[in-house]
Amino acid sequence: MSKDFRQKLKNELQESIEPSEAHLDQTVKLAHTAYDSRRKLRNMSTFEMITSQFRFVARPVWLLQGIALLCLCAFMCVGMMSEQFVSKLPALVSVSAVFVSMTAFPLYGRSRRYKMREIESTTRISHPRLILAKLCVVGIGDVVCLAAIIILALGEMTAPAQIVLMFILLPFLLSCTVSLFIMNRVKEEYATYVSTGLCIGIGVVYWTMATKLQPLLTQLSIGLAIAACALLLLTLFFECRRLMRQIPSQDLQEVLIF
Amino acid sequence: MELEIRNLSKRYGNKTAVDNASLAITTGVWGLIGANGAGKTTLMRMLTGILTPTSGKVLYDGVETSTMGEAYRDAFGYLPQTFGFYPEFTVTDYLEYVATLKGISKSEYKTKIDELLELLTLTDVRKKHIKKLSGGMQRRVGIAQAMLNDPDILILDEPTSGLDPGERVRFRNLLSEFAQSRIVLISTHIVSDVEYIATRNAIMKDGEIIGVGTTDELLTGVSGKVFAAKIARSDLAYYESVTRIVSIKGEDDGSISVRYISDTQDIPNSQPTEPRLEDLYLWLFRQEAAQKEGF
Repeated sequence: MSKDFRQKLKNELQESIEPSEAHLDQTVKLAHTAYDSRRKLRNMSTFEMITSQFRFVARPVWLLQGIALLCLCAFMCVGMMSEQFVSKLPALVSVSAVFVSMTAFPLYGRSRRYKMREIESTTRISHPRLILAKLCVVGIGDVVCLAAIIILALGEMTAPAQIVLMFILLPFLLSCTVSLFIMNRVKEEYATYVSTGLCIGIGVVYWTMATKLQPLLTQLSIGLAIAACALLLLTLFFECRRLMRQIPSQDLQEVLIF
Repeated sequence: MELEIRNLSKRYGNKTAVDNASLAITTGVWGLIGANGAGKTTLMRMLTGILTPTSGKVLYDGVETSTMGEAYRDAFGYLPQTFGFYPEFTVTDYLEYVATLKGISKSEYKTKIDELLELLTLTDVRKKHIKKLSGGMQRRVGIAQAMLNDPDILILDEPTSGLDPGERVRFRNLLSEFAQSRIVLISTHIVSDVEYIATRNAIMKDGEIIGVGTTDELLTGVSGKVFAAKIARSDLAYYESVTRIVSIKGEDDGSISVRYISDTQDIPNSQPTEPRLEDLYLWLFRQEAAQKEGF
């Protein structure tokens, strides 16, 4: 028996104890029996839990993102035939980036919409991990879509680094952050509409800015663009964390019948 | 094995959904009986951990469940009152999805799903979309998902709604067998669902647990209060207004046999009769029943 444990026992019992070997053996045996008779929990890492969800969560999201990507590719390929394509490219890619961020919307509040929240929250994976799995799925899809847009437009870009940062990453991160901010604070039934409206607004503003202020924006320092992206990324991280920490019981309480 | 509810309360503003409920649930089938709005669902949600109690705690074998995390969530199966599903899911997809949420390995869940589909006679519809199934079949899919992890505690909120009489009987038998060394807690306002299978019952009213015991123990509360009588058809309306008539049966001679529950013999020539759990329910919830009937 360890000294610490002996000391703890002494302190608890407030008297000196000198257990016999036989008693110790018996205690060990009882502890083993209790340990063996408990329900065995299969070892499972968070990574395994999250990736196991991809098959079910990813199907509708990636399908939607795939369709969106095909539409964007077709749109860009048609646009490339136009003489104005190079001058309109920043506007096009920025709107495309906002559009990509919007493909995650149908996933928000899906559990609640289809009354799956109670079952999902009471399983081993837990609600925050399931949200994390969904965020990972959306994130992977978004990265693929953005990479495809960059690859398609790369050959036509006059200042690739600035355009990628200012007209692809920045509008994408901005619309992601704004929509998640709304989703976390506005009632779920209205959140998607408000977010959609705001993202369309961001798209329109970016289209106007990219068309009218393109030379000015591309001349801005890369450092400033990186700082803006980093700030948005950080905000997005906190919004994701907030989303994961939301207690499912909050909306279960609302539906209680009195 | 014991699931203990200790002074559990849940309040929403000035409304109390569950009021200082205490109960020690041991192995066997437990019926949680109460009218709609009695607090059954809130209590069950607190047992599953999706609702945080305002005060009090839930203990599983002496350990507070809120500290057990995954280990507790792995130990129970839960069927909520409203059974939801994603529209793209077939029965198999759905069960596989819940199995992965419960952390069951693929090799394990394949066998378990086959077993449960067989047990709940769902094998023929395994490839069908859940949205295309009848209400009873959807409910059975819900019961299957709750049993996927072979839980020690099975919590079922109104499990028999939507099941036809045959399915109800099969379901009762299934639960009786399942509860041999486990805890099965069924919340219902359909008393006949638990009358024959519940080892013990807990009765909830206005957020409080007002009675706990076996069916026979609880029935002593209405002992001597249930009567049977024969009345003329023309008198029925009058007696319905003065006493709590439980059942009415037309006789060949044109008269009516009634069963009623009351402190006193309200109908002349009444005979005391054996009380049933349904009588107790109607006695305890007479105000709610009267409101429902517009009295």
